[in-house]
Amino acid sequence: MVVLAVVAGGGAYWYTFMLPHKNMKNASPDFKLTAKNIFTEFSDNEKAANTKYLGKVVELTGEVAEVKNEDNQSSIILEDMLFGVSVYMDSSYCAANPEVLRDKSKGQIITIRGQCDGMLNDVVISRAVIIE
Amino acid sequence: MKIAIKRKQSPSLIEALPSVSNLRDAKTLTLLIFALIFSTGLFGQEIYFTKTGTIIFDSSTPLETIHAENKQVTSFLKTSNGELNFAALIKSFKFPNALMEEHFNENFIESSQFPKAVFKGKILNWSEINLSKEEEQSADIEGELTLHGVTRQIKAKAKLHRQNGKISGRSEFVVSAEDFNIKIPALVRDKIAKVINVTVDIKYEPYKE
Repeated sequence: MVVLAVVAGGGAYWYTFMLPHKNMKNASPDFKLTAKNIFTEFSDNEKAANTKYLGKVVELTGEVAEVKNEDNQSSIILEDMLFGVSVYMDSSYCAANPEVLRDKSKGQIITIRGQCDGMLNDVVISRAVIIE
Repeated sequence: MKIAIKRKQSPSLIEALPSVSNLRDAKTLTLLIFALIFSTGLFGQEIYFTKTGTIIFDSSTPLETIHAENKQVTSFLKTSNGELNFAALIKSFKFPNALMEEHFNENFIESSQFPKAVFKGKILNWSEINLSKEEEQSADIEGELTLHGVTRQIKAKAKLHRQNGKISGRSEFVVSAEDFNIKIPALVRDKIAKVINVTVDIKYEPYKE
């Protein structure tokens, strides 16, 4: 009985406090499209795009415009510096795979997977990993 | 001789005029004018900008640590008059705990309905601030914060200083959840503070294309 209670309690504790974030490497994407298309959808009708993509796992393919590494936050900008997609990388993924960003450079076509946070100037993707 | 030169010039002028009336050229011309206006502004570096500002909020109580960070805050500062604005996506606030993040998004701040937080305001004592000095300057900021679909006037103090051609700013202020119509369910009321401590940390760079 005591053991059971401890296990159940531990389980509840783990669930409440330790539940990890979705691992994008294994998450199946809700949408697969190009970085250009998601930007167009957001700029044409932000409300509709929010309903469709907000909080969803998206897989985007596009051309690298810039790779940034600053203050422990790595990011890749796809298509355009201001009117494209800002992809903020998952920090633990980057720490475990430091080489993935090192060999990415401007002009390359890549595919990333992450959570869609919405649109500011550009579309923002967070907790991203690189697929190819 | 003089007349001959005039005649030589005038046909080219006449040729030039109709070509402007051509729609495509008119567009190019407008673009060129815009580019000129913009580039003169850029020389004065009138606008400072960031896409990677940080906002941290904390509603912790002795019972529970509630802390989230958003490192993707966009902000502009207009150095001609001290106007500034901020925009942050609610979904970009990251919690250490996945469940807490979900509750925050779904139950408290309803981010699918209100995906953004926006602040538009100005530095009231801008004329007294001298950013050519490296030492820290105190700024009084006032403006409108829109959060959870509610817009409220807020005031905050900030510290600004110039560093290697960048302007960094830091501000801490408190907002009340109730003011923004954010309801805290009875079940967790004791665990979550009614006030939200907000810390803003920005490094502006001169805006350039």
